Amino acid sequence: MVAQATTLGDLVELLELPNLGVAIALNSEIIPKSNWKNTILTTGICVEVVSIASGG
Amino acid sequence: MANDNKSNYPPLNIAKYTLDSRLITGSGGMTSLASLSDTIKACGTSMTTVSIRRFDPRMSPHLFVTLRELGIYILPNTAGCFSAKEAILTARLAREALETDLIKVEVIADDTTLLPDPIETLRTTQELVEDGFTVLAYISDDPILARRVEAAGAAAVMPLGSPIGSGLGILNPYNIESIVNYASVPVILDAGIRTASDACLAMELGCDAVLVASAINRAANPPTMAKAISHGVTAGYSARHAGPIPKQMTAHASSTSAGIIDYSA
Repeated sequence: MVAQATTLGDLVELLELPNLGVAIALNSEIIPKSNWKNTILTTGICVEVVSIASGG
Repeated sequence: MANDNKSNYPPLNIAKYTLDSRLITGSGGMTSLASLSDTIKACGTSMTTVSIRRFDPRMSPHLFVTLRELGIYILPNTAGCFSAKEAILTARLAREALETDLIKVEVIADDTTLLPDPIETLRTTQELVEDGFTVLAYISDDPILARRVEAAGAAAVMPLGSPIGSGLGILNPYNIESIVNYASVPVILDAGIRTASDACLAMELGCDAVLVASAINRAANPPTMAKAISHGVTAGYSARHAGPIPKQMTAHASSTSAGIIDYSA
């Protein structure tokens, strides 16, 4: 499923991620939302999707 | 949010942020979103903390929407980080996810004591302030460290009363008062509170606010405890500003000595 994605924006759509409350880092580098659509995913890249959880 | 406590003290300003309630709650330890929502409504808090974790489709969007609908500030923390490097990346992820410059810097030394690492906390604070963050720094109850993080640009210092989740209250009131006496930014008592009297003492010592998570969320009845602690905060603030009598080592009669009956006559 993920292999079909060519950009980070495609991946976000495939995974049905919300636009708000989410941040994405590629190999520990944060990709701003405005750059999701034009960020090309390459083989072996580490995609980290984070959001909020309960915490004190 | 509607809260009958709010008119009893002025709002708290942390940098550009104004908080009507001086009770900041933590979402850590919450048992359900409904309970979290009920608790926030019960105590009228203006700000709640969250942690930054891997996206969980079963929880993350729902927690985000719940907090947004409550209309309160979301204060992300760097809980789970053991170094400045980890905390700085976490803070930047939080800023991107939540579109906020607020961050509670929390860099702990180990998983057992959960005590904050002072060196890494100071380094993190310095770097995030330079990067434009509004830093609320969680620290040990060390008056000198409090001065150092304030000098590094922290918008608020958050000394612990006792270790996270311990419920041991304020173990060193002298240090907390000393931190208050030197600080020119808000002091928020964080960690260790068990019940309303602990929150009251924090405010009597001169703290500007308290942050409570476990004591509320792990209580048998979270909304009732949240409201009780909110009353404790209000009572402590009022008592502090009502001019308490000085402590003395001798007794002083409160009944008048005028007209005292001479039983020996």
